[in-house]
Amino acid sequence: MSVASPPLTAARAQHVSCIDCGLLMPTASAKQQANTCRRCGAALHSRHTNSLNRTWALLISAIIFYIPANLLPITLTTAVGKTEGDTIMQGVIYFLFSGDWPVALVIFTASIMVPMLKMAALTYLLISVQRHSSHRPLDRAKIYRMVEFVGRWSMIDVFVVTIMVALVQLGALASIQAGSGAIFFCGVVIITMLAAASFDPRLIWDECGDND
Amino acid sequence: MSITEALQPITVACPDCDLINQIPALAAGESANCVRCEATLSRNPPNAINRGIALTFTAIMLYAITCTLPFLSFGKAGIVAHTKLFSGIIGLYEQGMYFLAGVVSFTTVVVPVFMMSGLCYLLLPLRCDVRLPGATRVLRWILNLQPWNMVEIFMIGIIVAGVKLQKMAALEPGLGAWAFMLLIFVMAAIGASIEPRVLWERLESARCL
Repeated sequence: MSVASPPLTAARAQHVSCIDCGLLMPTASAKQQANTCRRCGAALHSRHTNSLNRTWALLISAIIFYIPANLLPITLTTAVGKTEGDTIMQGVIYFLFSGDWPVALVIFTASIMVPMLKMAALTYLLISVQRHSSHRPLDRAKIYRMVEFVGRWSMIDVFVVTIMVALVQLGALASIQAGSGAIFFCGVVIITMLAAASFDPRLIWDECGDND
Repeated sequence: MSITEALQPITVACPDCDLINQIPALAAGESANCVRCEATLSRNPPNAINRGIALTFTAIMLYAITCTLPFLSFGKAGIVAHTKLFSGIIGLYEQGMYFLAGVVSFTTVVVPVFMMSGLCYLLLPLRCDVRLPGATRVLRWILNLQPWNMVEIFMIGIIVAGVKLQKMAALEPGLGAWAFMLLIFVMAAIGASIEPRVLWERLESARCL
């Protein structure tokens, strides 16, 4: 068995690549230009600044926000003088029992499954990087890509509330207002999107190749 | 002028895993992936600049229709509410939900409008190998704001809300809603026909104005 040389990364080759335009340049020449890209002017970093700490901070805020997002009503429906609040889960159950199971599935996936899986996946990625794991990096890279791709779709419920607020203003008959749960839920989606963006997937690979 | 050319071989670091990759020359329609983590490194969509211009203009027209024509009408017992795209944002604002109104207007109005006008500002001059002042900054903003352009998610939201409300009263999509539906596909086509690397290389060789 031959000992494979560690894979040649930009960092190992004393190079840095621009996060915005992809230009690859030697670290020394980047330093001469105050660490800004000569092609597009973006700030150059070999890895995202403080990636793990920032991602943890955002992830924990998202988890905290997720609790009121699910407990508080996201819509307040007023019909014939009576006002009723609906949480996300109550909406899913309503659709499930009124026979609209495809809609129930869409809302459940976008508002409950995706945010929870996303937060779990980010937690796993952070812990595995902090433990210097070299376990199945390709699978972890794919998990990260999935988190990045799918996160924005959780906004569906916020948009549903917006459209209902706009449409259901029929005076005394019925009206719908946005509840405070919607604010927290919208916060969760934005914060988890920022958390995914602040995580640097290159950290997954930095531990691979050193020890084999 | 803007015939599809092969992209030259280039050495890049993978944005996802930092591995140095040698990308061979790419003919039109070809793409290259990282040998270690399989991330897409570079594509060469055929006729990128011309298609980008055509699709951007289509998107601008569709968005103008979406904003001006009635979007949805919803009625019960003779009272019919007509809404436009902005009505929801205004409704949230009037209820004191400033944060939600801000987020929805950012993701469905500010970002899409910025992206469409920014692409015009970049692509039209690039077709004649000219770059306007601040072009690199505009392109960086366009690329970084891409995930915050949520028109397609808004469309799914409309469908879900429609199903939710059809039990209460009759719901009718207007011309604005159909234009918006088409806009989703045009926006997706813009994403597929434009490759950042092509734009960066063209900007680099373009004359400053």
